[in-house]
Amino acid sequence: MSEDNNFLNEQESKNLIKEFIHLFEPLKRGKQNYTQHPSKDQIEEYLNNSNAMPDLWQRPQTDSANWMGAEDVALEWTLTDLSLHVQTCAQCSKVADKLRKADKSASWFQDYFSAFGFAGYRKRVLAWTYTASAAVALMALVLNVMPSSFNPIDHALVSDNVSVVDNFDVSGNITLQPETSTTTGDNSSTFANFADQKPIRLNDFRGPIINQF
Amino acid sequence: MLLKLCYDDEELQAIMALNIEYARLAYGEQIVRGTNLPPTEMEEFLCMDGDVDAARQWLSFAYAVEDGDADAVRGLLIYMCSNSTDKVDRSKRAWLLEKIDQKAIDFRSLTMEKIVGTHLNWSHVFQLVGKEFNPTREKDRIKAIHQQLAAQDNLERETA
Repeated sequence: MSEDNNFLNEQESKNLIKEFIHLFEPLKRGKQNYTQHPSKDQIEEYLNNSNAMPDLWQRPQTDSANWMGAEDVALEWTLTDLSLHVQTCAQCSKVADKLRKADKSASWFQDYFSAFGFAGYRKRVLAWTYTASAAVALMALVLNVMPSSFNPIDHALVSDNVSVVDNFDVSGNITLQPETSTTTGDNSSTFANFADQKPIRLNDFRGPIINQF
Repeated sequence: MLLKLCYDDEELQAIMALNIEYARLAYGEQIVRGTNLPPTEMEEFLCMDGDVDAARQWLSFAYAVEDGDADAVRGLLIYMCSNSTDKVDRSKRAWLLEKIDQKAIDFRSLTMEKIVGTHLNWSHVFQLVGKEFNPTREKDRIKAIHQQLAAQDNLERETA
């Protein structure tokens, strides 16, 4: 310390601050040093991209400040500032914690979808492979379930107007087709009473049909 | 104009007062960082809320930077800002002191957010600006500039 600085005792320094303290009044307001806090979006962006963000943030401005052209002299909020603020401000650290928790639960979902477009080659191939496998599995399931639950032949046979005999050809094959109504051309009643009918199996006809020939 | 439609005069005055107060503080940050925004251009903007004296005081610092030892003025501002709050922010102080010791930070990368609540002592300030200076001398110089500006304003008002 140089010789002429020996007057810098505690009292002198306090007096110095007292003289100019009013200039720093905005710093003393609010729960923390500033009344303005970063927005939720800014905290989220900071948490997600803290390594990639440039070291310069703009302190949130009100519309009126923008209207007055205050951008040029806005307080600058660097990434370090934001990091310090989020760590030390009770309100903002709570927001950050909530966002972190929400991010953890949603991460697998986000990872999966982001892998399609933005991830590296390996992740992208994996994502498409999972999707293709899931699609094949789903298709197999549908095809496997359908024959047991929906049998078109069974459904055709329960109709009143199905003619089995008429569709019997010489080779022994039976083609089952519902008869259309001859009077109106409307066959909507043909399949109308499925639920009321007892299903008739093809085997039930085999004996009598063959006996007819 | 839009603001005038949305708010009545009192509300508008309150909004402007708050924002201009922050703008003055932001100008102080610019002085600390050495961005050299000319005080002549900032003059009207900084007193838009009618607090001419507060604007004049910040402008005195800016004129002092232009005319004299810029590092000393910055050091003075850093000290005052750092000690402006009663409560010490211990984590912030520890962080800043570590950076100062490692010489990993200088006044160009300082912001109000980094400084406020750190309660630096003079030796830390000298390390930050890279030199020792006489704070009382600087303070007196700034006060003299302030008085000069006030006298000029009075003269202009009288002649008008």
